[in-house]
Amino acid sequence: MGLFDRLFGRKPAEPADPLLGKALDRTVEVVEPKLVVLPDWKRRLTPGVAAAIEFARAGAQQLQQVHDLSAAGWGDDPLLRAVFANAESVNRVLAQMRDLQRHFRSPNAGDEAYGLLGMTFTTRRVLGAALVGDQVRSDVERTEASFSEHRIPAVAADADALRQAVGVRIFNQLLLVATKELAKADERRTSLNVERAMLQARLRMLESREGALLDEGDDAEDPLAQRAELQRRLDEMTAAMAQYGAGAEGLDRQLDIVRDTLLSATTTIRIAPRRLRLDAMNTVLADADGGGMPVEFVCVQSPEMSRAFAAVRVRRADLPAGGLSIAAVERTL
Amino acid sequence: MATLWLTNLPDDVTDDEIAGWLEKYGFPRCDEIARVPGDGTRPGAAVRFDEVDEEVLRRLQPRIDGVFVRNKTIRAQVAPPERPDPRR
Repeated sequence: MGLFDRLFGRKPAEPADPLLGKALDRTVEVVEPKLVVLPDWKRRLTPGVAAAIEFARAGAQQLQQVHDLSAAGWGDDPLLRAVFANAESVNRVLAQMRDLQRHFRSPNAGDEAYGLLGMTFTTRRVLGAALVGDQVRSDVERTEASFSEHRIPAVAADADALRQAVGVRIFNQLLLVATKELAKADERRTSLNVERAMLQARLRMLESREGALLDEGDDAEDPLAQRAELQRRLDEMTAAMAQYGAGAEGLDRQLDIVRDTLLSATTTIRIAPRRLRLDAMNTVLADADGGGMPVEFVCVQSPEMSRAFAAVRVRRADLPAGGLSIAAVERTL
Repeated sequence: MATLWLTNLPDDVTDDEIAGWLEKYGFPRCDEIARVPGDGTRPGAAVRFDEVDEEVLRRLQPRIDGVFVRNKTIRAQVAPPERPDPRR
């Protein structure tokens, strides 16, 4: 954890925070190192980076509840019971988490570690059996929650350090979103360039054959109208390309894209606590129905994905040996 | 998910070193590094990023391609997306 990580602690970042400078440096390092040649890049990027830091800080601070992750504790914790099929799958996931194992291998590691457990979260509507009044009906529409692709992408020695690491991770993800927007702009500019070159070639061909086409006198489209139409499309294309700029102006546009993407992150990505009442089959129940157990986690939703997250504590003693399954070896023999 | 192919790596390079180089050049943290020793003349590695799209990786790839490390010029390529197996 460096100075940079302190930005994602409990206190919101102050606009004059010297650590903001580090966040700005990291931003251009990831999204586009050439942005530093612009004279006032720091001042122009600050609103976006400050908004991203605040977003990451608020998101990380939602991880307040810590669950003890172990095969032995699977049956006692409603969240673990909902997200893992059985106690053995807890062991399987723990054995695959290399960051966690690396953490415990480090000489300063204690007997427990804190991790961010992330899972793909989906819900689907199914027809199932339910008691309706006095009758059991088999065609009642129900919602089932499903958790898959378990990972522990962040590990730390204590809960505060974990939240700081998660804050840094959210911030880095936002930088990747900005990089993706720049990649899209690059792609669009390249495709506009190709289209413009094709239109220019067609225009040149039309101009060179204009006389010949006029002589034909058949029902071919009026070459002058065709030429005017091509010129109109070419002008449109040139105007569209001007949006992306070229050279230093292009860098200006890229900086605007980065700042606007970071500023709009709060509208495109949603990090919020989610509470569901689930029965043993992960069927979503209404609170009024009673039964089942309430389960709480942090849900991250973006246009591309929906993932559930929870802070977990893992004891060294609960970590199975990675990479070697005695049961699997016995089966093979 | 996207994968970056690195070739012509130094023989004795560690996974942590590879991850460190990539982060230094603005790449996000990688999720897995699979070593591809080949015949030993140009050792390589397939670096997997679970939360990075191919288009983002293509934008980052020129930063590491051609970097000179320990008398070796590293070559980087974005691996094409996996095609579904037609036999399945």
